[in-house]
Order: sequence, then C-alpha cells, then structure tokens
Amino acid sequence: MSHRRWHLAILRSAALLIPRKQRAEWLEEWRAELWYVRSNPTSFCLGAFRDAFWLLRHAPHSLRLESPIHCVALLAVLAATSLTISLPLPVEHDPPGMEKLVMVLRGGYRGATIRLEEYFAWDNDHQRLFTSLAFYQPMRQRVPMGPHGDVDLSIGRASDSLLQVLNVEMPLAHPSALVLMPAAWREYFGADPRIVGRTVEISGRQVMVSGIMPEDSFRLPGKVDAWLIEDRQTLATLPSESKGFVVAQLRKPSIKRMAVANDSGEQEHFDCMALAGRRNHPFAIFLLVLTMSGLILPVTTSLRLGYYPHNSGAWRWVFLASKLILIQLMVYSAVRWVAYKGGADPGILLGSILALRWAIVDQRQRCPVCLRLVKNPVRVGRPSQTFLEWYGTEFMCTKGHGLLHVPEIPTSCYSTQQWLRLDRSWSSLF
Amino acid sequence: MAVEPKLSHTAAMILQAISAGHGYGFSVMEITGLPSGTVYPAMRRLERDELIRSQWERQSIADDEQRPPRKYYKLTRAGKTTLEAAHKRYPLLTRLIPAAVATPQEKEA
Repeated sequence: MSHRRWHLAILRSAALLIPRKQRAEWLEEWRAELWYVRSNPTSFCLGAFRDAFWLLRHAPHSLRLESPIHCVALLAVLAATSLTISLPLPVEHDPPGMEKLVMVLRGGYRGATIRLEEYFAWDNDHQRLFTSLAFYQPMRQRVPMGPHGDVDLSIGRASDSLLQVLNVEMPLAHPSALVLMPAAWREYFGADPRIVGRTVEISGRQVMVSGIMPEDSFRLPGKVDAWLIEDRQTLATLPSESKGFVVAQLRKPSIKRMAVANDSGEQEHFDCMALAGRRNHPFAIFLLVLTMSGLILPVTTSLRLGYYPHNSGAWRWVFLASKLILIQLMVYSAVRWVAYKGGADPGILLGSILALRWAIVDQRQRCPVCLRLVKNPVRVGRPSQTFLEWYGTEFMCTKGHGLLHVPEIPTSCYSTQQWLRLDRSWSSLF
Repeated sequence: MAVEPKLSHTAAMILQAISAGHGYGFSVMEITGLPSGTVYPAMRRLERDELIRSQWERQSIADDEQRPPRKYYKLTRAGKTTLEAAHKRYPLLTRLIPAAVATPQEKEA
C-alpha cells in the first residue's frame, strides 16, 4: 500500500467514529490539510482519532451511559444477545462414534511422519487393528473459484476412506472430489450453496466440489479449509516417500501402540493417539484469556479507583462487579464464536483488556453515591504556580453529592483522585 | 454581565494563531508546534463556544493554485474579546505568535 493510501486509510478509519452527518465534511477537511503535511504525515493522521473521539463524545445524540441503570442494562442486553447467539453453537462435544478415533504417530512425534507406502501396506492388512484407516497430507493451494476469485486454501489431500473414518456420509465425485469445511465455506464463499457442483482446478486437475462437511463433523488437528478426497489410484500418483498423517478407527479402544516390521526386518513402534476429547474447550480458553487480561491490565491501566469516603456505599462495588461479569460473559461468547469458526483470534484478548480498562476508567468517573457519571469538568489551579498548566480537573455530580478532584500528576496533596462529599447545606445549589 | 470564558494557555495560543492569520488547522500546528490531536479538538471546542467560526474557501481559489480547497477559521467578535482578555493573562502571547501573514479572508478579498 502506498504511503498516501495508508494515510487516507487511517483518516477513513477515524471517520467511522464521526456522526454520519458530519463525516463527509470532517474527512474532507483532514484530507485537504494532509495535502500540506510534508513531515511525519502518519503522526498527523493519527491525531485525527483524538479529534474524532472529541466529536463523538460531544455529538448531540451520542450514546450516554450516564445513568448506572442504563449502563448495566445496555451491557446486560449485549451479554444476553451474545450468549443467545453463541451458546447453541456446537463447540464443546465431539460427534458420536469418535471414541476409537486415533492418529498414528511414528515414535510419538506429532508431525507428518507416515510415508504413503506405509499407509498402503497397512491399508491392505488393517482388519486386525482398525475398522477403517485414512491418509491425508496438508498442502497450501491457490484455487480459482470463478466469481469468488482466487482463494488461498489449506487443502488436506486425503484418501477416500477419510469420510468413513470420520463417520460422514456424502456422495463423492470420482476420481477426485473437493469437500469444503463449513468455516471456509462461510469465510471464502459467503455460504453460497451454488458452490457445490462447481469444477475447480487443483494441481492442474479438474476437481468437482462435492459438498460441505457437516457442522458437527469431527475436526482433525491442524487447519484444513477443504479436503481433496482421492481414490487409491489417484493417491498412488504421489511419490511413495510422501509423508502425511494417518488416522484410524480402532477395533479395540485399548490399543495404544502397534509394532510393524520394517524393510530390514526390525520392529518399528507406532503410537495410537486418541483424538476424541482433545479439542480445546471454550471455557478453558476463556479462563486463559481472563488470566492473561488480569496480568496485562495492570501494566496498561492504573487500577486505583481513587480515595473515597469510607461510607460511600457498597453499591459502587456491586455496580463494578456487574460490569465486569457482564463484560466477561461477552468475552466468553466471543471465545465460543471463534472456537466455532475454527481458529484462534488474538483480538479477543485485546478486546477483553480494552473492555476491562473501560470498566475501571468508567468506575473512576462515577459519583460514589448515585453512581452517575460526573460532569462539568473545570480545570483548577493557577498556571503561574506550577510548571503544569493546571493542578488538576474537578468534576461535579449533577445531583450535588460532591466534587471529584483528579490531579494532573500525583502530588503530596493529591496522590490519586479524591472525592469531596458535599453535605446537605449545599443542596440549594443543585 | 456576560462572563468571558477563561482559556487555557493552549487554547489561547490557538486563538492567537488564528487571529494572527494562521487560519488553517495545519498552519496553526506549524506556528504553535502543537500536534494535530491537540489542535483540531481545541478548534472544535473554540468553534462550539462561538469564539471562532469556520468556512470553506471558494473552489476557484483552490483550483487556481491546483490544490484541494481548505476550511479556514477566523475569530468571531466574542473570540476577539476573549483573546484580548487572554492577552492580559498571558502577556507573552503576542510575542510568541506575532501577526505575520494575511488572513484567509484578506486573501479572498
């Protein structure tokens, strides 16, 4: 991306924060000014976010969470909506019939270590140990998908016994068929059902898209966007030394290892690693995100809520706890959604930290008595007496419960923000 | 009696810069040395308080100079009164930012 495009992209991103009516003019002004900036235009453009936030805060009909009830109600609605969407998603349980599913590993090593010739040999004589056996080899391919453009797909080139191993029934084209994973179908093809039956070119061969894997089908380890299912003859065109993974359904679940005689007559041992129950449980990921957020948050945000009178009431803590719990419910929903989509998204951790940061900062800006956001900031102090412009800023509770003093920097007088409670004698002013 | 708004030093500098003829956001940044993230929100605030007002320059002027049209700012009557009060509070303002260029409205005239 050229520098100019990059800078315009920054401005356009900031413009999304601007109320719609003002957006076009605001963007035009920043674009016009950018034309004159010669040194450090990126820094200039990043300043647009501060301007945009100012306009967002001061928009006449901007969303105000001044009342604690409105704030908790909005969070509750968001949490309920996200849970309603995410809880029914099938992300926790393995489909039935996967209790005996194993991956065969050479010497316990979890990479692609099984040679194609070994798979063929085992496949010829597998009845003793396995009810079904399949080979697959991951590869990355750029696939032309007609109206959907060229798509980079992680393709698992697999034997035609794979669907039997995974307990999936689907009519397949011969000799090769492409079966899309549901997540890739949604992400790359917009869940277009017309993709089924289309012929695409993979590795110089025409392959028909035969179907979409069922949502509740078992997901094998690693990221696979589509399975290229090939019959034995087509798979045999690969070099016999090609390495891949072998998955199988065991005849008896007690089998943990198997010994095979190699070319020199020596016994070689392979591990049978059970695959069922190994999926990352969303709740475990959520706990990890929660722990990481808890560790990172103090580094990015001051956790001090300031000095308040001792009798400021327990509702303050109930309110804070409500916000934190509702935010975590939304984070849990996001974790479930990402687990359903079949990926890992570091954006969840970032979002969790930002949401927790908002909860803390919001809490600091609320009256400890009525829990409404304090308003009417006034800068206090005289510039001539300090090297700062002002000592600090005073906010006022519009219900007249008190004043909140926020120092510019910690001083001997005010090491942290302090709440000055006003007694009833001040009530005539409010 | 109307109460004149008290300006921070930063806001007074920006008002002085606009009064001195630096009527565009980037010109204000250049003369004051303040970053864009400070200057533009401050100008919005000043405009909201009706101390300055903004106007787009004519397209023909920009076309003649082969550049995009800019939005320029100028002081209102209330802005001039407030700036005079700020001069008493910050006496070095006029020496920091002397009137040096023709104002945009003068250019247009």
